[in-house]
Amino acid sequence: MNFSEVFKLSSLLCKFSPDGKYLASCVQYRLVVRDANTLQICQLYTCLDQIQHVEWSADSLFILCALYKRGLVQVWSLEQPEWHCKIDEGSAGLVASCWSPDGRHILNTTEFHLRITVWSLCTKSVSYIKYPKACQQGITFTRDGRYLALAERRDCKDYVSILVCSDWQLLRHFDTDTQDLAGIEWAPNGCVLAAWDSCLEYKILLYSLDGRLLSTFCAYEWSLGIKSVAWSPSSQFLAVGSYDGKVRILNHVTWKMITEFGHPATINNPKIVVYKEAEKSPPLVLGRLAFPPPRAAAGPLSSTESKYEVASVPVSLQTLKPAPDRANPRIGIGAMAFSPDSCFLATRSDSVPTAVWIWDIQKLRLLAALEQLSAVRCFQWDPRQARLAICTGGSKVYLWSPAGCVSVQVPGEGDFQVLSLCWHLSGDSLALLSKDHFCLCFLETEQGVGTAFGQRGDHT
Amino acid sequence: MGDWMTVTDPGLSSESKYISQYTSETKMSPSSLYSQQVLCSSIPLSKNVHSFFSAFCTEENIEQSISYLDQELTTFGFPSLYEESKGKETKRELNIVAVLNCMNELLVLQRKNLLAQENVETQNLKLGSDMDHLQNCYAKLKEQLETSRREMIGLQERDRQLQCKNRNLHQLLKNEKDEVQKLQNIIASRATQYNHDMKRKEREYNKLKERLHQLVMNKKDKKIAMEVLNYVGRADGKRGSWRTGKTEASFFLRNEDEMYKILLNDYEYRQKQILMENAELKKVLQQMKKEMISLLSPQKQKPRERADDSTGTVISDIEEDAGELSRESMWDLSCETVREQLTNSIRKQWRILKSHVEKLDNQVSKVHVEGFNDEDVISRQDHEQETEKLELEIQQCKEMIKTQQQLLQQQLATACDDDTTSLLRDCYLLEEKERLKEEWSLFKEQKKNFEKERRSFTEAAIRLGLERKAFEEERASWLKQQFLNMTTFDHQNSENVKLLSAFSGSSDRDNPTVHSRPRQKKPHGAPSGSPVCMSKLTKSLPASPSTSDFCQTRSCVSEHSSISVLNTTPEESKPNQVGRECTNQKWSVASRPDSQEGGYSGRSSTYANSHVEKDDLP
Repeated sequence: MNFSEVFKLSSLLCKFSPDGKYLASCVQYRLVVRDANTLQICQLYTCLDQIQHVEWSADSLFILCALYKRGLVQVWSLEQPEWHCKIDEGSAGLVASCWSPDGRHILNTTEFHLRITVWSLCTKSVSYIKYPKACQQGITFTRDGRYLALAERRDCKDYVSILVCSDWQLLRHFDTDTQDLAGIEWAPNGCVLAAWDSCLEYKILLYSLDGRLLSTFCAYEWSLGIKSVAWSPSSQFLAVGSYDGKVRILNHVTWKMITEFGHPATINNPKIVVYKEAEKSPPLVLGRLAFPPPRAAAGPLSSTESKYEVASVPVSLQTLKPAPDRANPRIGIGAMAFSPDSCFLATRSDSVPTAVWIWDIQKLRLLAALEQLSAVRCFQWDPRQARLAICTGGSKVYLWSPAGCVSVQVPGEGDFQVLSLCWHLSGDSLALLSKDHFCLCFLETEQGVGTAFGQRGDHT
Repeated sequence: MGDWMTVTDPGLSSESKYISQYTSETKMSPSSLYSQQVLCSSIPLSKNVHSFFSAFCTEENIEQSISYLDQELTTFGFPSLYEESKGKETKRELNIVAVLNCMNELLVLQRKNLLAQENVETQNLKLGSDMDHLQNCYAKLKEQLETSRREMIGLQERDRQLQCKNRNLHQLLKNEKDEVQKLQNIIASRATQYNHDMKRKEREYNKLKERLHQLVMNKKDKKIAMEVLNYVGRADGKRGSWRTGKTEASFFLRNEDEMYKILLNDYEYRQKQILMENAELKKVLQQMKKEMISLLSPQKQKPRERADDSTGTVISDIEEDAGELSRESMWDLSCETVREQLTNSIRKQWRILKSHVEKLDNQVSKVHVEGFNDEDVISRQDHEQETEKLELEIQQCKEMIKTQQQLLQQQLATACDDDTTSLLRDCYLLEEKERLKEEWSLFKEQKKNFEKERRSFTEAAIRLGLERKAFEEERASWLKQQFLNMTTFDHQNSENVKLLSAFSGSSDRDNPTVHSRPRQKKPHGAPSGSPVCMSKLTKSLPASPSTSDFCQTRSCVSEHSSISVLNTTPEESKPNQVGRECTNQKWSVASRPDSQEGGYSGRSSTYANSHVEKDDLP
């Protein structure tokens, strides 16, 4: 495992292009595009103000930079550096901006969710979509880029509009049986739309592309409901994480619950492997310490190394007591992610913030649990294989695969606090983002993970 | 009878007493007054009797007393004290015999009475104790009764309290329920109110939004604009077409078409998948069925042979069914038509299999009861044969290894050239290679030892030669001196020569001591020739004082050389610290090529080695 040099970054804006060739990162008002392999700067664009949002177009030809404070969107072309486009939303303001899947239209949401403006880069045409709902996840495109589902609110009722992306025509418009729609999401095959209610009510509705209600699922009543929803990449399963600390898996045939994954604070089953991160004092090897002196020792090494230990069951995980008088209680399943092969599901329960649960979807049981020393910030699956990268805001990055777990210290002077991470398309490299820096971590081979400790010093 | 007697006697005696009292009262006996007084004054009986007797008869009233006694006695039924007088007037004579008899009888009676009294007293005592016991028991029981009664009262009290509590709790529950109901009502009303408010607020919000929208959007906002250098082509290369009323409709239709196409594709895909799954399941089912049939068909023969069992006929039926089904190529049939047949046949077969398994179970249990079965013995025989075979194989392998070892040794003995050995080695398996390597190193070790010995011998020979030479030189010098002494010659020159010779002599003498040590030890190590012995040797070196002496002397003599060795190879000396064993082996490898000669070069290198080791030692 090799680490790249550390580059500057602001507000965690660092994205690989969809084709995997480039890496866009923002430093204040500058947009830097680098080659993803060599990390040499390919293009450098200067925006009018601090960039707050960056997005690649689907064909990796354009980059959108949103400057919400100014109500501006600037678009840059990778092929023609002199080409530029500036969209000003004027006094309407701007709160969100995104590409349409064809990479030729930009959807801007104005302040107060007054409307969504669809700007075309091909023609002068501008379309407006009125009544967008201000919710968690109100816009979702199908994976093939054909359709857009949009949550709307009119006359105190929730509606969903399905639009054809090619010409922005309304295809279907139907009301949903929800109190307060919180989010919508297409299944990866683009035929089923999941819509869920706000946390006050546990309700998930499944609609077909043609607007038919396929099924409704409600696990319980009178309690805080759904917190997170995730489709499996095969569209076969829908995982619904809720405030009762359980994940419910629905199947795609009957849309009924297959199983329920509880997240207990104690793990008793000896079949479950519990990896516990433990601090490790650096081993004092005389031969190595004498000559040459390792760089890590020379720099201010504030954090100690850590390693994983397989804890013997029963293991009790650290739980957080939720404050009952505060809004958004720290309970429930806050994050879920299916592995690319749909075989594993990683979850995080907000009441046990230091742990990541990994479930075996084939056997429908808990496979492993990772307990970190600090709260898990972010985790993401390798897009190519069952390999999960986790960061906890410390100077380490953690990798889990069915073969085992490894904790890798990010080398470099000072503390590199990994707040977020994102995988390269190929799964060969991983961008690690800290508050104002980022670096790339290259994982060449399978062995790279195993011998990560040995090659840690490869800091170029 | 005795008991009866004891019981009756007291009554009789008491009666008699009473009677006597009565009689004494009625009959005016001489001392009746007195006696009555006595009786009334209730003086203890014995004293009373005594005094009575003492006072009863005096000299004067013998006659009267006798007659009184007679009267008394006759009333009690005793024979008269007087003789039967013939004449009426004659004075009746006192019959002594009768008196004595009476007395005797009275005494007997008295004794009996006493006995009876005693019995009665013991009886009385017994009864008294019984009575006490019973009274105790009674008291105890009474106490128990009291306590239980108290307990009962306590329990009753508690029961009452609990009931009271229960009633209270019921009341509380009711209250709570009411409260809950009330709260629920409140919540419901609040919820409706909230919803209502929300709706109102939302409407207001929507109105505001609308207003804002109008204000913001309708006012020709110059700012809302897009600046583009030039418009880019569409991703699909097509040109955007203008929308008109006509095209709108067609667009819509096209979109619908596409949507339904997508949906259809999805459903088709899913159907295909389901079909595939079904086919696989059917295949599994069919296979299972076939296996069942094949499993059951040999079984089928037996019952048929025995008798026309019901199972046999069932199986044949099933077979026919199965044949039909397979002929029909059931894959293409829809489930509805096949399902019933299939499930029925499977069910039947399953039943048969179950019964068969049960039968087998029974057989197994029977077999267990009967003891060993033939099959069991056969299997054991098989097992034994197998183990024998394996043992034989092991033996063969061992022999093979032995022959190979012998061959190797022969080769070593004949000092085969390296090429052939390497060739030979290549044809061995890896494992054998390893083993051979080990043996090879062992042999090398042995060889080295032999060579060392040889070297020491040659050294000894050389040393002898040197010594002889020195001796001869000395003798020559001595002779010379003598000769010079005899003939007056230069003094200084001879002294110089002597010094030189002494120096060389001492160094030569030191060397033999060094090498005589290992040589003395070697006879222990050489025969076995193992590396363990070698290491022992090196380890034992510092322990023996002579060698340490040597070290000192040696360091004095050849300090220069040892330092130079250390200086030239600092890296080599370091690993030496870590693993002496390892370096020894490395050493042997290094010394191998010139070991054939066993000349001085090898010797010098051993020296260097010993130096290095010596330096490491504390």
